Amino acid sequence: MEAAIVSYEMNRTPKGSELGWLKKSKILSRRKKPSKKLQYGADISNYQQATPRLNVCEVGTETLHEKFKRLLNEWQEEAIFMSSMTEMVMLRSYQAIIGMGPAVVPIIINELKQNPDYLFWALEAITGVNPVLPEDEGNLGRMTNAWIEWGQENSIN
Amino acid sequence: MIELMTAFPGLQNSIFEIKSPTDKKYNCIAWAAEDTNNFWWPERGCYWPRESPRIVTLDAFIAAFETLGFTTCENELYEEGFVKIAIFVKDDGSPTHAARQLPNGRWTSKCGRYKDIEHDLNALCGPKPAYGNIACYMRKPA
Repeated sequence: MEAAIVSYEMNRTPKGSELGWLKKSKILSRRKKPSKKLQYGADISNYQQATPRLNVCEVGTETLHEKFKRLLNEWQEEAIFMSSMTEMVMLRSYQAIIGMGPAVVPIIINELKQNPDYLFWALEAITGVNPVLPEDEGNLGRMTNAWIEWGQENSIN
Repeated sequence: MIELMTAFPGLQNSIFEIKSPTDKKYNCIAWAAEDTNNFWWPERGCYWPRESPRIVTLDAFIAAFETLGFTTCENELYEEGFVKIAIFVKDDGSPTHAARQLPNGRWTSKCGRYKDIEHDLNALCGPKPAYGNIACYMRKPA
């Protein structure tokens, strides 16, 4: 059930008047975690969707921010000689950043302020919004500014 | 990080020179088009000329360079008064890279998000992470 709600929240486009995805994601994060123990006849779709969330704990006491930085460094190294954006965002490390869900959005926005990079696909995949004007696509500075402004408008610091 | 010469073994037996610092703002296609402000690729989130189809095919890349005045040509040989580019593709025919010829007859490439290098044209050919093979040459008046 929880996985189904997460999936719904990630795929819909929030309306401007809503506080939107962030509050709801906090509510979701307080819900009871699914049991790791599978029982006979259980619907495994919940388990399959919940599995990536368990990766939060994959490196001991790593914080969310540390995990993001580790994945970002991995991605930047793996993508260094690539020009195809699709190839870049399909790398495991980038997908893992997306898999961190709404909680990583403020961390990404903060990273953009310090070291702009093509983290926009991840932001769009998580939030379901794209504040970048079509004519600004491909311009790292303008895309970064659009997302930082979106963060400010949504009180994400 | 994968070393440049590990990724592109062809560089090991040729003369090449790094010409710029790493810059994420632009990529090889942008560099071939002499644009250092945008990241060119026919995909969402990237710059691509409006007149060209947004699909990752050789024809779409040729169409993109045609908007800049390039036309296809026979070979990579230097011709006085022309700028040439070479488009690289992988085995399935989809483009991976473009290089631009310099007035000295050598070639310049931006290696993805990495640095600009001056190199022999074929030194970047090879299996992934190298850029495959050259599928097309284009030229325009300098």
